[in-house]
Amino acid sequence: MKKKLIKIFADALKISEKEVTDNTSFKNTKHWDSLAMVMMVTAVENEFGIKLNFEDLQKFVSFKAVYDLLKEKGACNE
Amino acid sequence: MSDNKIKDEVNKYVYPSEFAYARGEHVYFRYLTEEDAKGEWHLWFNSPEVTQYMGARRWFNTIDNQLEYLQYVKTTKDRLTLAIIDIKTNKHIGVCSLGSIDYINRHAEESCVIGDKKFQNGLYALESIAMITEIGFSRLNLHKIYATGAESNQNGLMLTKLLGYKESGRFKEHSFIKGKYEDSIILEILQVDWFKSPKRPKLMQLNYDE
Repeated sequence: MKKKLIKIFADALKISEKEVTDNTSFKNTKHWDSLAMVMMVTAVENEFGIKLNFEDLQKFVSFKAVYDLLKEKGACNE
Repeated sequence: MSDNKIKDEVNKYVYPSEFAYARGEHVYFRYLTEEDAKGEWHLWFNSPEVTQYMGARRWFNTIDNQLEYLQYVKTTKDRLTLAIIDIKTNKHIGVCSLGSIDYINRHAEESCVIGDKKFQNGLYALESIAMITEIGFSRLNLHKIYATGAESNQNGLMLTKLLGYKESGRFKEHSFIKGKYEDSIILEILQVDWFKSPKRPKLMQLNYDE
């Protein structure tokens, strides 16, 4: 599951999967813009089969925050 | 500093402000001031990056222009224009508005500009669009809110769609951008759909009776 999320982040942020870490955030990633955020949200909803509410969207600030969110929702079981 | 302490600090600063209009998680809205017009606000509209999809980009924007516009937005009931303030830094980072407010047919046009580059990561625009949409439906009792954007402005269009706005049409060859005409996409959302949307924010408000 974590690998799937890493791929989503790498694709949206136009970086290699190796570059995606828990610390990857909007503060330290060049291509983290509106479009990247939309791509990540849409891909997470599609790949993990969940519907995110507004409070969930506000957690798209870092890889760790999104991973924790998915764990909380039972979508990431690692 | 713990999250709660930070929140207390923010609340101490934000809540006493008579200008504060509505508050979200990352940003709050307040009325625009002369200090804003003399500050970065007028400069954003001279930035090619910020104005690339706007008609305003053809003219140089001065402090006087901005002060004149401020007088207009302070007195008109045709539009509601609010400053977007980052809660953590208390910095003015953009403006959000409901324009062309039609009180008979109950619709208005949403627009949002994040002028400060450091905050152009989707998070602040998303919350601002959600907040102004909520204000339009809950406070102004609008029936419908719409937004338009040049087809190449995918960042703005996709972000708005993420909140549940649906594409309902397009103005053919409506905008002249980078030497060619582009269609403008029309996005809209009805009050009834917004009220049942999971993308509706919980808005903490000031001076808000409901």
